[in-house]
Amino acid sequence: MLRYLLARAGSALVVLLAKAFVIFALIGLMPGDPVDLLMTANPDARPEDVIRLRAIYGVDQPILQRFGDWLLAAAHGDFGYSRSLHRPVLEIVIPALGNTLLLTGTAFLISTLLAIALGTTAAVHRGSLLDRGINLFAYAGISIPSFWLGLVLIYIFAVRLGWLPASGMPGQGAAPGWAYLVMPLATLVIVEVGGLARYARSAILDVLEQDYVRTAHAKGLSGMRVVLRHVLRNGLVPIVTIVALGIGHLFSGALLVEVIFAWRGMGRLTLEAIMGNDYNLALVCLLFTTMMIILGSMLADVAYAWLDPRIAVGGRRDR
Amino acid sequence: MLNENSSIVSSQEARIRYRLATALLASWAIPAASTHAVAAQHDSLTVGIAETIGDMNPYFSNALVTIHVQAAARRSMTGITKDGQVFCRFCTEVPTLANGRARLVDLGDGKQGMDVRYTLKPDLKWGDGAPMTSADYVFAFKVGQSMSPSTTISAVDAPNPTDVIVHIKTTRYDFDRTAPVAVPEHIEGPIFAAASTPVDYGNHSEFNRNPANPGLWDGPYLITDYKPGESITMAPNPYWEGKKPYFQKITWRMIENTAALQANLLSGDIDMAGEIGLSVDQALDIAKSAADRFDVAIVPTLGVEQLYVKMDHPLLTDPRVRRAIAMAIDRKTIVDRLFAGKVPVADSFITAGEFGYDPKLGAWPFDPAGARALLAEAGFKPGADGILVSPAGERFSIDISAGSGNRMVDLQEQVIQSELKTIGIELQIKNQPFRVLLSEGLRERKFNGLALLSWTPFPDWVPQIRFDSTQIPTEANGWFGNNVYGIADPKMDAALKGALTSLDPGPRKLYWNDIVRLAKEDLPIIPLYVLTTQMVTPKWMTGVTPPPLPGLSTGWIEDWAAK
Repeated sequence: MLRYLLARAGSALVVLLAKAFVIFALIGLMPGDPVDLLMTANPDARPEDVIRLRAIYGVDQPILQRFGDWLLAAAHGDFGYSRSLHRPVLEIVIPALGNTLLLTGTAFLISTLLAIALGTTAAVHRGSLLDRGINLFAYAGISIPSFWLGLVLIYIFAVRLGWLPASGMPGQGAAPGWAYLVMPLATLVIVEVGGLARYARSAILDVLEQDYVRTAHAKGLSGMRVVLRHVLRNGLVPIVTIVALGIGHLFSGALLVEVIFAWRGMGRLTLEAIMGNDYNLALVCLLFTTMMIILGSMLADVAYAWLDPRIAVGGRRDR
Repeated sequence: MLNENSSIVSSQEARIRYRLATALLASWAIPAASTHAVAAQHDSLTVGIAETIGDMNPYFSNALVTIHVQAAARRSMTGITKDGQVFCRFCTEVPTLANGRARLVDLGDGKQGMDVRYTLKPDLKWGDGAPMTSADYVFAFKVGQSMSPSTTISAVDAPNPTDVIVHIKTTRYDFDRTAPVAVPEHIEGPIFAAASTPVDYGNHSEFNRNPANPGLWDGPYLITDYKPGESITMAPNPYWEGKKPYFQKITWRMIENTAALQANLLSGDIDMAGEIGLSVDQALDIAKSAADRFDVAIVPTLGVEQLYVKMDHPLLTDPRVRRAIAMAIDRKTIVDRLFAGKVPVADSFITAGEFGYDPKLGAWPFDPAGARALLAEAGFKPGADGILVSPAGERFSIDISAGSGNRMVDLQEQVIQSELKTIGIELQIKNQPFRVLLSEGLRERKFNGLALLSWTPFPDWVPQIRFDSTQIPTEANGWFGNNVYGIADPKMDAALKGALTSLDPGPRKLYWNDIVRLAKEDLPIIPLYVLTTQMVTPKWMTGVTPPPLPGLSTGWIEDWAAK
């Protein structure tokens, strides 16, 4: 297992380096830079000003050299400054990461648990009214755009009822901090739970048809006990893949929900950094997301082995 | 009295809602009570803005939203009144040639420049109580010069602590507003001196590291808290010598999505949406749905929404073709349908009341039949599919580009597209992200025919960078310049130079009239409608008057108060 994890970490490093360069180059290839903006409204600007300002803003060097400089500094723990905010990148990313984890992490946890509960219930009561009701809820969640759902929730709970603040971050207004979390959280949970519940239902249905489940029933175990002890653990294996891969996406934030609810998370930050040509900031945001996706994938492999000892990690059975 | 009653009703409603919510959702109702309680106190104000503020150093950021918010805490030497007159904020007297504060100087080689002297009012102080002196203006110029394109100002001197002398390389009609905006040398000076590069200065500038430092600000308010991407909080500046502001706390909340901003306004989470806020249609919606709670002002600015025309496009070189396009667009209907007639139709690239505006010129009329006749006269004939074909055999198909993601812009493009089709011109809508449009599309002149954009000039701003032939961006000059239309008219160049350098208002007016007339004949741009600024304020508030320039209502924030 350890050898496997070390090998995966090594390949992850290569992927990260390659991705860092690709992101750096792609942002560099995007049209428009800070100097373009400065030059737009100045009647006295001259071509020599363009040359001078490009040097000041560091956009006059070839991409490869700029990337090399960045990499060298990053290796020493210096991720540079944000061009648009003139603050150290980590000083901006870490609070946004915390906000994102609070929102999407909580949403992810709730929607995963809820989806497993709903999916299992639907599978156990296959074809019943309850199953149909859960399916309807799941499809509604999958098909409702988060953007629209967020606005509807704001309209009902903030504008009409006045129960919750319409948007913002904890501490911005007089409402208690948790009140700002309720609507964005509800939006994310409703949107995410549908897909996961469908996966869970399908996985549990497969297991319910296995011989050992019939045997467990034949032994006289109660339905609940069979589900909890025999069905759920085996049925969770495919769900774990989806859940573990989803961990990476947690860190990239939920852009639309963050925009609607003015939540200062990673999604908004990444978008603003890319659109504002903020190399360092965009790079660190995107690399962090990549790193988390790789870690999520590793976690999925480990979880497989834990849930089903027949699955060998790294091509060898762990003894 | 009415307001007091309204507040009581609000509180009662809040209590009822609280009980209801408690019954339904346990503690979910607590914020409702708090929200309405805050709305009842009118010594603080929460303003929603639809953009985020990034860099706080005024010499790094020229974003309108930053200027708008900082105008509450940072003031310039001179200002412009709502009717376009220059007045002194920190100086004792507006410089003129007559009072000797401005004088012409011989720069040699037949060139003439100007020296302009401003004298600071006595006892001016920064927000930390430190005196504001002429050294702060010299320092500001030094900072600006290090990281900005060169300007016509060659130097700024401080012969003594109260006099600021601005040296200009040429004669300029707007010499009376050339003083840089002061930067506190006692705070920023050591940081600037220690910085290895201008960008390094920006990284360590107190404006970015600690904008709540009171010594950075000289306006009626001080920034007391700044949360990047979230909010800015302000409190009155105790050292402000002007009118004392009414609100003891102003919070600017950044809510980028305007639909969410509108919801925040209706829910009472924010009190007002200022100029960087709602679109015209959203403001009209508030005026209909919440007229009892809000005053909605839709006021024309100096800006004009306009079609940029690529004049050297093979299909658009003939001025008759450009006139035909102008005559095929029914601007009145666009304004009536999209903006409920609340927005004035534009007949020039400047608005009525501006120094150079000539009401006698008028606009090209809406006349599709006349447009078709002009195109026929220019040799265009209908093709098999109804689209015109040029004398050179080219099908008349061009593009219209705008910044993507704006519903109102999309609608305008669709209207123009269908109107041009009626005269045989195919218009393809090709919108792009704004930064792509600005850089490749405009600066590198890759737009293929028309671009839909707005332009808001300062009062009496001579459009040299837009219409002078030396300002056409080309690959040879590194895509430098803002004349993206490609207008190259010696008569226009002469008129621009005259309007820029002439100090006598009489001849200047004539030069200006020439500029406006030539722009109408050559049609580098086709004016559509006058831009407006929308301000939605609560009924209990007074003193908010939108200025002609968007974003600068905060220049009079000390007038904002509760009734």
